[in-house]
Amino acid sequence: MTTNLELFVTTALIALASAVVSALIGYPIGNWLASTGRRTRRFISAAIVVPFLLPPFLIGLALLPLQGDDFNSTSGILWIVGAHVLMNAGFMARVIAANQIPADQLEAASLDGAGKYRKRVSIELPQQLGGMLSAGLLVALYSATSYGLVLTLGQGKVRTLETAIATSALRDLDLNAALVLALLQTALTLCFFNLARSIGAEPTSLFGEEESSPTGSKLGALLGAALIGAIGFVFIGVFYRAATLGPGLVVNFQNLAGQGSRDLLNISVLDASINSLRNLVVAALIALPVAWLIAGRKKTSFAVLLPIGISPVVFGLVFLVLSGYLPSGMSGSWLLVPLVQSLFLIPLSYQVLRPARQGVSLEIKDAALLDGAIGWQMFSQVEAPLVRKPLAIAAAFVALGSLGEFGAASFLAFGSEATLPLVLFRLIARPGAENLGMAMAAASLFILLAFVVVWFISRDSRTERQES
Amino acid sequence: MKKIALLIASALALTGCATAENTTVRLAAHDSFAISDELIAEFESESGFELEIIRLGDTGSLTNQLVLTKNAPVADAFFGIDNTFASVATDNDVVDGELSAIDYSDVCFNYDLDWFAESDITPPASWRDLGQEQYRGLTAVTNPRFSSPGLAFLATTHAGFETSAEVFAYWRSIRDNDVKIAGSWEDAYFSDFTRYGGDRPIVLSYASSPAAEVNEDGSAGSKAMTSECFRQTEYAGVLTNSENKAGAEALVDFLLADSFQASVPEAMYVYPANTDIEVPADWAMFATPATSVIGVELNFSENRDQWLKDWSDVFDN
Repeated sequence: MTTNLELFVTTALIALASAVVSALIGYPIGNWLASTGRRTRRFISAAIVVPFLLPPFLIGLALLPLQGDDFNSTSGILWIVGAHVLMNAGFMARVIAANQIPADQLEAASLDGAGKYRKRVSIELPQQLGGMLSAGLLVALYSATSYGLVLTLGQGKVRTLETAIATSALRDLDLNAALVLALLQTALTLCFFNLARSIGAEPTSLFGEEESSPTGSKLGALLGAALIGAIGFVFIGVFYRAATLGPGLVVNFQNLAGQGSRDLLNISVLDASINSLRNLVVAALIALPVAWLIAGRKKTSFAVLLPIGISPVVFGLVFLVLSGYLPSGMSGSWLLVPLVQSLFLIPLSYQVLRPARQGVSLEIKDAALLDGAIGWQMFSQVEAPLVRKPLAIAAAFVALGSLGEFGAASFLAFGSEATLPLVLFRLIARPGAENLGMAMAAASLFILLAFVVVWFISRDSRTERQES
Repeated sequence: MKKIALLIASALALTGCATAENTTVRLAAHDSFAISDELIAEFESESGFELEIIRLGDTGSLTNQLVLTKNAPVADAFFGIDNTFASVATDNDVVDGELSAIDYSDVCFNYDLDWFAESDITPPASWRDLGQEQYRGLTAVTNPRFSSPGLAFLATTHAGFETSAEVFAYWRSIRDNDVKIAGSWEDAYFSDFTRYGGDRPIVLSYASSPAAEVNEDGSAGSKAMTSECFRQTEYAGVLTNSENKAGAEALVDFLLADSFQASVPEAMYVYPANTDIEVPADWAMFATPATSVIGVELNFSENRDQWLKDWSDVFDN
């Protein structure tokens, strides 16, 4: 039997290893990214950020067909760390690219006779270290809460705190053991989260402006090309499988209206997508207005951010336990899923909206007030247009976050209320090329959606710049 | 902050309206539950209740979901908790009143007749033979942690030997004989079994499975080893805290009545619990029940955890 300590150590090691490797790869890529021309930079930035925005379970699903037959718990852990790196190296690179050293500092150093290596070690690295460390801790946090990915790529052989919580609660009905594990999981992730916060990590730099710097290295270019190559290889693999597995492209997509071979699923993939979209709308209707309102307050609310540091699996467990005490119409209701999702989508949107709302100058608001703008008018005609891009980003985070959410839904969405990630997981967990083909077809749509979202956000920022 | 509280309050109020009306009766079932539209219509017109079916995964997850949500159940009645899981349900007070047996099926090994005809190997006569050298790498069983036939076979071995040491020795012998452990019955049957393109001509399934494997010329495609099988009985019942007890009782009565009982062989490949019901003609040829069953007297609630732990010790280390 695996002890709780072993589970804790496994989870922590996977998280830390993922963070360290992402940082080692992301650092040179980020510096190289900053040294490229504007057009190239925009393209590469968009390409490497797509996996970061995809739900972890989907990355697992994309990599699963690449796993060979020779599989054990050690190789499982390596696959999981590799998948985390694929997801997060781009995020890391963008953080580094946004943290470039002012050119005049480097020029001054050159004048003083500092070589390239010397400049990197004595001037750039110390100044970038803070950003890198905090981003690394965020990567560790994401990697400690990627339940769907671990479940998929671990093939039941890799056990982390999250998988053990699910097994204890859902299979062994041992809620006490599950709650103990949930406390350990929460201690670990809150620790990562608080450390990251204390050195000032914000995922918002993702869509921030990147500074130019002349200091890209060959290694960075090489790693950057390798990362884009790997991302391309994985995604093209998904598209290719969607087109060739089982009955082929057209039928694989047509099958999404059905329930899998031998009616494996309770509801069709299409119905599950409708459930997911419905959950998304409810979660967005709660998360965005609430985050908007809190973001407008003068004081920063650290407590608002806290849920980011808690695993969705833990939320799922807690609400499952609580469900017996909720009003009866609520406990079995599908509304529980979007409500729980909004708990961590609120802080996510808050992080994006807070700096934006605080950035709107008081003078503008006062002037609008004097002109008689109140309530909805103030929002729709004054503030919202000014913070259009952050609003779009927050909406995108909420959309992708809700659509791809796996951990909480796996505790709370039953039978005909299953969400898209749950039915896709079921498809890949059962035999048959037809089922895998369907899963790949749905995954292709998901990946394309993420590309559209990233493209939309990048385009938005471009038009904004032209206007200003 | 007031606005936020208001928002949350209105969201909560919304959910309050989601309570099911008492004209609907909700049945929680496992994924293999099948009922024809005609029978649904018959139930609805006879009882006046509308039937909603909620499928909750395999037998294990069905039982567990019902236990986890027992204070505010997602359904009014259930179908499909079997005798390997019944104690979990009753120990946790999920069932209001009695469990009603609806159908049964015998868990036993099936083998591919065509495969054995083409090879020089004599098919095994009993599960006890599977550790023999000539059956090396030929067998697939399912993981008892996830699959009810897997758990049933694990129970079979405990019933079939006097001591745990013998049970251990048997499992080690089939492990060393390269038995394949599949995650689910679906995996074992539709992925590993030679009749579906796999490389295992012997698979853990049911005595009734050969009825689905009849060749085009009318000959049998597979055969079940029908001695010392485990008889799996599936139950229906009313859930504690059900919002519609009357509807749930009417539904359980309907599942016990002749028209539904007659439908189960063809719909779910199981035998009706009511033995007066005639099974389809070809079942007499291809899907006879087990000639002997063992393990029915085992105490699952006391032993399950230990059995599974022992099993893991053999296979996971």
